Amino acid sequence: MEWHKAAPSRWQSEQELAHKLLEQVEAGIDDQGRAFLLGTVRILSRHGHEYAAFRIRIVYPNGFPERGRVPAIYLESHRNWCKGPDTHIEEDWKLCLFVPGEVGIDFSSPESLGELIQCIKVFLFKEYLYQRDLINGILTGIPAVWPGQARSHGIAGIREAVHERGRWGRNEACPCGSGKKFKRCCLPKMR
Amino acid sequence: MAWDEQRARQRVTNHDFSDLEVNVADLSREMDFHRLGTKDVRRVPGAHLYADVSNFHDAVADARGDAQKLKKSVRAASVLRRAQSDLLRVYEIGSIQLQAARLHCLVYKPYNDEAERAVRAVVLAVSLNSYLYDVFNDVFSDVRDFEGAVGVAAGESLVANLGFRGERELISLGSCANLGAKVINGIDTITITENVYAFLPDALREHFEKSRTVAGAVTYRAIGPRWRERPRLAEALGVQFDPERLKKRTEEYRDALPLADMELSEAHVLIDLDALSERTSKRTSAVVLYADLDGFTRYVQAAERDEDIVSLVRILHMIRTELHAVVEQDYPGLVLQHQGDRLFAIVHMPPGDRFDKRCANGLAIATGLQSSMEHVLNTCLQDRKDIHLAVGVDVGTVLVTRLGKKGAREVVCLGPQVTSAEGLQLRSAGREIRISKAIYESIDDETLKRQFVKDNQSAYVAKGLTFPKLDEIEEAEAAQAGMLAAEASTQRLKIEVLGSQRPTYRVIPKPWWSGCSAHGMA
Repeated sequence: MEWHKAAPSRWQSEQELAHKLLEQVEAGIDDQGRAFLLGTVRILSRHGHEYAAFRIRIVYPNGFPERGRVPAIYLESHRNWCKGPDTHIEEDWKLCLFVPGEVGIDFSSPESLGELIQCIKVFLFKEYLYQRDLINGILTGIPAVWPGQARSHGIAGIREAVHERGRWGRNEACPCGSGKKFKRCCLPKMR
Repeated sequence: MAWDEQRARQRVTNHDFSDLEVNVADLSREMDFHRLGTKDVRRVPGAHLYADVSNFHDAVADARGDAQKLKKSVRAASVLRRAQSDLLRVYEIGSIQLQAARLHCLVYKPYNDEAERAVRAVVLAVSLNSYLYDVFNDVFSDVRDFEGAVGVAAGESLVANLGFRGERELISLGSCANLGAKVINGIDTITITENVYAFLPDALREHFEKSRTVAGAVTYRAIGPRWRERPRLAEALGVQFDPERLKKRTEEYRDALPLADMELSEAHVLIDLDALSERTSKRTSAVVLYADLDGFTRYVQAAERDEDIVSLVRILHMIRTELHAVVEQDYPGLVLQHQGDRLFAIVHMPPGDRFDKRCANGLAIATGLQSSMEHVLNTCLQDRKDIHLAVGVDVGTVLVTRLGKKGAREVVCLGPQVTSAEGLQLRSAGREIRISKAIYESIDDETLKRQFVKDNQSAYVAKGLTFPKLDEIEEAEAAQAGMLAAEASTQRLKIEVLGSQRPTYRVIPKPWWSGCSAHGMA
């Protein structure tokens, strides 16, 4: 059963919270039957200077929030951004926000959307800085580098997350957020 | 409270001056700019005269905290103000403002006689210097040997009454309005611009020699002409300067203000300017700050049509109101005066031994002023975006009082750092903040300190320093160090402090890239 039908009260509370935390919020069901929220997130500096306003789409997977499944975040604005070597945005404009298994957000909590949005803001600010440096790099020749720590691309990044935690049970939900057991998802690839 | 761009934007939106009624007219015989309404602006041809007693500020330092000596300085300032007003009345000359120890007045009569105005201005200049050196210094020899200098520049300026705090406050705008102060060149001198010199009779002219060029204006300087030494010149010009009579009156003014009736106290709370008078003054350690609108005068000069002037006055209202709010609402500062398009403020909070915190507040105000100008006000200036702020900041002990009659009292702030802060501002270009060594050494924020570079006169200058710029530097550094967080409800970024436990903020997770959607995250 589709998540929004299976958990209507949670879907309702997600929408209510989104209206508090985002601007110009729209909620709907996409053509694959997934619930989504569309909203604008503004990023302000500590003294209230607006760096940018981003339009984002939060897509809830079926089975959310069970077995480590997390929402996927897509960038709907700023699609003129460059794709640099460290751009943590996939081809379909999905943000490579975090390794779901290590983020530490309890997505079963109705308040988790607020925590997710905090993460999105910091991620987008870093991407904003990275994009700025990409442009500057054209003029200065200095290559842009992602600000701060970032996981390696692909399965290597999952391996780093697993190694950093020290141990990941074979029957635990895979840290990649696929909803599968670790032993049936990334563990064989890591070997 | 601290500067905030969203709040500043809201303030500027709320204080909408776009439909402010402004009546522009030429000053005519039946008008007197001392009776200007708050909506009136007058084009006034005339000679702007600045009489500076620059070492009045040193009297505060000389006193070394001795209350009696400081009271004597206040009394001397009060008496000088009265005596200068008497001299101005003799020549029917209008006082614009008392700027610390510098008197600014405008010779606007006779209305249609440029030559007579020039002569009158120079005669007043000689009278003011004569009074200071030959009368005032005799009476107040126990305070200090005061040194004076006068500058005169002629031209057309705008005069408006843009008072605040319920007091009348005349301001004058235009290049000649400031030029009189800029041309001052050495103690015991009178310096005039070429368009004043050209109208002088030979008897006066022969005392002047061609001097330096200031802001494109050729100047002429006379060293020390005084009526006592030039009785025939005084007679030829019809000047009646009686030092003995003036001395008697000066002594009467002095004796009418016994030291025992004067109260001078430390400012332990924010100074209430309305409660100050020559009998009630405050002494405090304060950051002194001047912020000048660089580029505004150029637009005043170019404004020929009434609607251009109306637009400029509205812009000035908007800028002044916002800058005022930064000083007094965002921080515990105190605006003492608006001098034309320049703001003069002090920060004496917190009081007592919290010197570094006072300096930090002063510097935050300077940065807040630049932030409002560059990020908020500048977006409302339409095609006048090249108006910027030049800021000078110093710190030291000052004496704050109010002189003049009730209803027209002017705040006076004396102290050596008043002059040095003004000097720092005058050396600064638009978008610059220039600070003294003492202020620089008080900065403990390394990011902020890095923005300042030493200039060739032992001061420190930062170009383009605003809070948004500082934020971006610090937030980028925090992002790099993994210390950046965000608040969901206020949309603000937040730099985490190591070891702090703030439940509302999450440490940022690490981004990664799967390279494809093979992991089925969606």
